[in-house]
Amino acid sequence: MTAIPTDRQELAPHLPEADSAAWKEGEAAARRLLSAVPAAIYTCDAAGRVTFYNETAVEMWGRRPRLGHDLWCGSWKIFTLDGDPLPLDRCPMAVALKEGRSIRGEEIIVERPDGVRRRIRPHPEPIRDASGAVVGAVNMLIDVTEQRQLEEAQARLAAIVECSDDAIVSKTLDGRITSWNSGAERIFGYTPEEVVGRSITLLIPNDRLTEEQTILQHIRRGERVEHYETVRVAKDGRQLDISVTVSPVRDGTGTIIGASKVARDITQRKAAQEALRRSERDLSDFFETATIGMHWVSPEGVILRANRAELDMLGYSAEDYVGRHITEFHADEATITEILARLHRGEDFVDFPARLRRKDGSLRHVLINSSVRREEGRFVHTRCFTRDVTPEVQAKAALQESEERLRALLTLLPVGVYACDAEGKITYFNRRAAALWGREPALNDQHERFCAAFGAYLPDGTPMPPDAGAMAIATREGKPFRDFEAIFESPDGRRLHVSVNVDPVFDADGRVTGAINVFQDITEQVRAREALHSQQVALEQAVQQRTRELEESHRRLRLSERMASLGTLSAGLGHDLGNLLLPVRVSLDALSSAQLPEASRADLDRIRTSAEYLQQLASGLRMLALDPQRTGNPDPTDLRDWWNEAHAIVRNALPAGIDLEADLPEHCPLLMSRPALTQAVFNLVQNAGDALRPQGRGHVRISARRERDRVHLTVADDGPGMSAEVRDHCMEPFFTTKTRAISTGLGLVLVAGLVRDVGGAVHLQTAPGEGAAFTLDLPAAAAPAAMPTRSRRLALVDVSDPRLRALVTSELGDLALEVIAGADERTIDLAVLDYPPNGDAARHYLLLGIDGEHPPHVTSIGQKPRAGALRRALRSALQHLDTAEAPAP
Amino acid sequence: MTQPGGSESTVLCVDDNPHVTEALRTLLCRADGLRWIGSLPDATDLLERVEAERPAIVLLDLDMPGPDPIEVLAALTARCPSTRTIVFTGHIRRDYIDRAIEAGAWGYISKNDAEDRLFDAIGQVLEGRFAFSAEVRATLDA
Repeated sequence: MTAIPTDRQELAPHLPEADSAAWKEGEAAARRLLSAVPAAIYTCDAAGRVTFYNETAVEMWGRRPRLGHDLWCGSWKIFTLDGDPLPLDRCPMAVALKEGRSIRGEEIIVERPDGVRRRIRPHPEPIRDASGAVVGAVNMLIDVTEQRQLEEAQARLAAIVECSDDAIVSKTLDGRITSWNSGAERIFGYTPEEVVGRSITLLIPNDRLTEEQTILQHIRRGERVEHYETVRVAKDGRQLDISVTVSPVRDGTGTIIGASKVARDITQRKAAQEALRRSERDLSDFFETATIGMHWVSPEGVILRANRAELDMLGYSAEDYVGRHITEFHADEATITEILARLHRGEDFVDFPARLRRKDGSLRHVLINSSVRREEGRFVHTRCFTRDVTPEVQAKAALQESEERLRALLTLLPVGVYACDAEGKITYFNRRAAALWGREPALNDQHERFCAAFGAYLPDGTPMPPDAGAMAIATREGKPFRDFEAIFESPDGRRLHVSVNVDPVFDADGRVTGAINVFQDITEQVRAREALHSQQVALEQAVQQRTRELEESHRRLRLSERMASLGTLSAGLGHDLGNLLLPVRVSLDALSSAQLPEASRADLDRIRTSAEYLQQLASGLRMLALDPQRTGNPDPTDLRDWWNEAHAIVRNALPAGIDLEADLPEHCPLLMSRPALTQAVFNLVQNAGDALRPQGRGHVRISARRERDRVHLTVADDGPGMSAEVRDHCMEPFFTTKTRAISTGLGLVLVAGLVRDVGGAVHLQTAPGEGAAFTLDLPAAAAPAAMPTRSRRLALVDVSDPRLRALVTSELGDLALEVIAGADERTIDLAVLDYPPNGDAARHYLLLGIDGEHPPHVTSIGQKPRAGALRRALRSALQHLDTAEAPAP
Repeated sequence: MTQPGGSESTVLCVDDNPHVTEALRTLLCRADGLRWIGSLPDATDLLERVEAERPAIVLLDLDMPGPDPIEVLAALTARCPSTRTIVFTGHIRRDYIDRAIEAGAWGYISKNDAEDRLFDAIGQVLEGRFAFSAEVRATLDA
């Protein structure tokens, strides 16, 4: 390097005098030259004093150093590249002067007084004299601030290009690849070595090759192609969705020399977009096809969107519904007030009950659930789910109503009903239950469990604690009980037999939640059952007895057939005798009034006696002929009266030589019809006659005595009597000691049957040689004297037909009633009226005083009455009156 | 024993037994207020005879040859309601009694009763009362 004088004051003394002018000329020229150099230049002498600087240096330092005074440098402050302050005496110029060497490649920071910092590369160069001694130094300062910044920017750019996720590729205008970053390598799979220099068409699918031409045309025209989405092929053949931005690359003169291409793999973004679209479609589809009603509401309460289910539920079209305010669809003022307040506060709803009005005006019960949608804390809208619960609400209401009805019904039921929960606490009981318990339990009481009976027992009397009863077991084990018998005791000690039916109650999960008990009083049934049992035993005995009797009655039937033919004969005889005796009696009467000799009159008396005897015989024959079985409820038979009528026929049963004697008390009525009594006594007398017949003479005695309500009628003979064997068997059918020619063997059987029919019995007392005495033990009739204790009964007969009126009147008279035909002041006991009623009914009421205190007993008579039935009806009416009037026992 | 008009009450007797009719004729001729107007052996001409003579009382036997006396009685009741019939018979049976009453009889008297009872019955029927003998009532009650 050529030594350049930098300070004329320092350098001049060293110059030869001769050369001084030329030097000075040269120095001036050098100074002008150095001042014109666009680089900062200054010089120092050997001591480091600044001897020269140019204007470029002044601009760099921001100051003017004092020449020959400031040391080393004109800078205000200097720093190392690290930013540490660097003392001026250690600056590169100082080092160069002190060490006598050039400094290259170092850089420092220079700070100007105005604070501007510049990055400077100094080039200090020692100046030596001819002897080589350092006489000073010159320093050129190169400002590298911009250069360094540019270099850093380029490095950053390269790093950015290199580390970009996008493929950044440059190419020539004919499509040849010139650069290929790591993004391109990652996306397309090729290394730079594989592709640089090759055509970009390597990446383009065959069907898109024309795209490249189009892109290059744009580039040549200097146009950018931005965000062009297309498809490229990776090294492994995968087709990639990419977005390409291609820009022209110009040289320093602005000539387009190629293109840079930024390609971004948007396969994932496309997939994400597709997923998003699908998601949106899904969401929309979900919204539209959801079976639950949905709508979106703005913070102000305006419906923003509603799905099909919601519209269908309410019967609106989307136009009717969307855009309207929700208040228009709510039925309840309070509800909508609450909803709007909550909307205002941005609150969610959970199962909020409301009633919405359908387009047709009907109401739907709904539950609303909502969630507020916010964006950055701002209320956007709320999404409401509207669940139609009308059927549930209606079902619940119906259930409630049904429950109430059921409860009302349960209350009225004639059986006890109660319920308990799973713990046994009584939750319900009806009136009948309380009545059967004899007390009212407290409901839901911990201490009153399973049963409210004061005491409960098994039918055998074993005490049954409440927690061991049917209700407790049913609740515990979930089993029903049917017709379980128990005894309930009430607080007053009353015990009832009850039949208990228990059903456990289950919840939807099959757990027992309690039980229902229906019980009823079966005390009467239990008693009846017990009575029935004893009756069954008696019945079995009776059946055995009856079987024996049936066998006997079978035999009696055969007998009665025979007796019936005898009866027909007797009846005919009796009738004919009656017919014959009438003219005899009339003739006798006529003769008795004639003038006759005494002897003839005596004959006439004998004839009359015979006729009277025949008359009695005829009467007796008719009594024998009548069927005693038809005798229902006969009038009492007075023994004396009967004997007067029957003695003739009875006497006829005895053979000649046998005496018949009767000793019967007066006023001795008994409850057996005259024909039956006649037939019984006739047979006994005939039997006695048969016994006496062999001895040709003897006595038969008929006697009677009354003992309280029985009459003992005895037919005794003084015949040979009977052996024990005969005695034991003589009452059996077909047993006879006589030859079959004269005996049916049924006489005594008939007697026994007749007596039994009226509730009597036959006793036989006999022994060999002591005769035989048959005693009939018969029911006595009440003494007739007991009857007229009160005034005669009064009967009204209002029958239009005079003959029937006469018939009724006659019968009433026979029953000792006083008969009137019209209104009377006295109380009428019995009224006999036409049927169908004759005339207007009001007349009857008027006659009868039917609304009076003692309405009469009314009997109707038809147009063709049966005399027997009429008598029975009237008799029955009288009995009814007697019963009604009888004082209570 | 007179009719409301004060004259004697006429009696016609129907019986196949001439001894009976003769006895009745004897009895009735002796009775005050009654006049025997004759007898018939059966019921064949009864209607004609009653229509012709309008007796107050007919005494009617039941056990006779010829037409059923009770059927004739029914016709008689319809045609000549003013004539009142008393059945006078030895047959005391409930079915006969019922049929006789339905046919229009005003009384049913047994031939076994004493003659006084027959006169009583005739008197009662003439007064508009009904007449049963004791045996008839006993049969009805049996």
